[in-house]
Amino acid sequence: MMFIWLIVGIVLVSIAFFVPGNGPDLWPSLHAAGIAAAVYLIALTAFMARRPFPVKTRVAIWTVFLVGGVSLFIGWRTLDEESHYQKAQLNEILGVIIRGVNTSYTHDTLVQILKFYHSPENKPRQSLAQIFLEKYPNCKDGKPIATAQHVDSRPEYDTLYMYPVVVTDTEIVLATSHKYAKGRDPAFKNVNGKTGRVQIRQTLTPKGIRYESDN
Amino acid sequence: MNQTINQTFSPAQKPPFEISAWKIRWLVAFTFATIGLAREYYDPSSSRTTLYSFHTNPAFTAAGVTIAEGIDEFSGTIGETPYARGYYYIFLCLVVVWIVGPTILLFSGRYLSSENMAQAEPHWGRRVMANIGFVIGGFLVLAILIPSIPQSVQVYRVYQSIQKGQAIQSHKDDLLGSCVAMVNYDAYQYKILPRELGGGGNSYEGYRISAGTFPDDISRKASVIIEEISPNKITVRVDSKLYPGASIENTLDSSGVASGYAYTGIFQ
Repeated sequence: MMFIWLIVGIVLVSIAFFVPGNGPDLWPSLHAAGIAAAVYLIALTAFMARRPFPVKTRVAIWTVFLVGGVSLFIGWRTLDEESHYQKAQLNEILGVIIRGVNTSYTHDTLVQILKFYHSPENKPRQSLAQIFLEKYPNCKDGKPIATAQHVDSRPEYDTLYMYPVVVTDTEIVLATSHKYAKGRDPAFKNVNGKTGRVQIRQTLTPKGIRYESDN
Repeated sequence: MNQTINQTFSPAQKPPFEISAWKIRWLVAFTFATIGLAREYYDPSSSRTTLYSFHTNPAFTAAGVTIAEGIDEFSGTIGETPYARGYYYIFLCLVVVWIVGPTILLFSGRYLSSENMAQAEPHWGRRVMANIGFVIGGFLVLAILIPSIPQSVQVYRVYQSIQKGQAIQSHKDDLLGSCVAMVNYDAYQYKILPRELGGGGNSYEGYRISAGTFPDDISRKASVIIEEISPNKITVRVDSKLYPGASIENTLDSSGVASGYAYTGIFQ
């Protein structure tokens, strides 16, 4: 009899655990298996805690079952919420860091152009595009500007490039995207060919720099 | 030579060291459960692998895997951690601790109890197996029941504490990135722009914070005050509206370099 119960329980939990599949989140599998295990344990306890066990023993078994079950359920739900909250927070923190770093790098690049453009040293007067392309000649072919982070680290860890979106005499637009930091819109097409990543856009005109968060 | 000791006890006068077989069984199961739990929760190495190691409560392993996935997403190392081990441990725990343990405990307990009640002479082999089954089942069930109540209380408290701490840190990061830094960029841009284009002509003097400097929602979160301004230096303070008394202050020099970051209140 015991082996029949064991086999039924193991089969029940196995089906519930593996039916939702090994998706990116394992909690649906765990919830399904937890419900199956709870149903099995209720049935098992009801079957076992019957006569000739005295009433006192039966009440004790059900009390332990309920108290343990409720506390395990509370802990289970809290761990589910807490772990997902922490995961989401890590993504949010990464987004804040990357937006800050991207904005800083792009600002530093463009403010140097703006500073030179308005300085007395800009003689004969060059346009924004001329100053920019003189400093970053690779951008003539639309190639991205590698930041200091790129230079200092190994190529496989490159995460920060500035892409010249518009380069004219009166306007330069740089878009900075990230390799893996997730942005607000998962379907957003980034300038670096990725989808749904953080992207900052800065527009330089003779009047100054304008900042936008694309994603 | 042969001595017969006939000692009888009245109902009110129990023998001093009477202990039933049930108590011995529970005591042995409890001892094993305590040793098992001590081994599970005492981790001298405290390495990251414990995040997705075997726990009697599979939710702990699952939470560990979820947080480890978040860390991998944060560091860009997705796919480098063997999460399959986490799945394996969770399934193993569900089967061993949640199915096998209670089943063995209840069946063994019922067998031993029936035997006691029937007062029959049981098969010695079955009796030994039932005792072993009771101890193993008791060990597995106690290993999850003993820590369940303190764990649920502790996990809830930790969650509340993390939420509070991270909310403060996120707000501070938000103000640094979308408020302090933006004022710095805007002020320096003002300095380098010529006067005919609305700039300061190589001076910070005359700089005013405009509404377009920040994201739209920042006025709900903070107020920005220019504390000190001179041709070559500007000091800006950002006061949080969400956490009164908390503020961030920094100074921008003539070349646009920010320094002298100072934090007050809960931001310290």
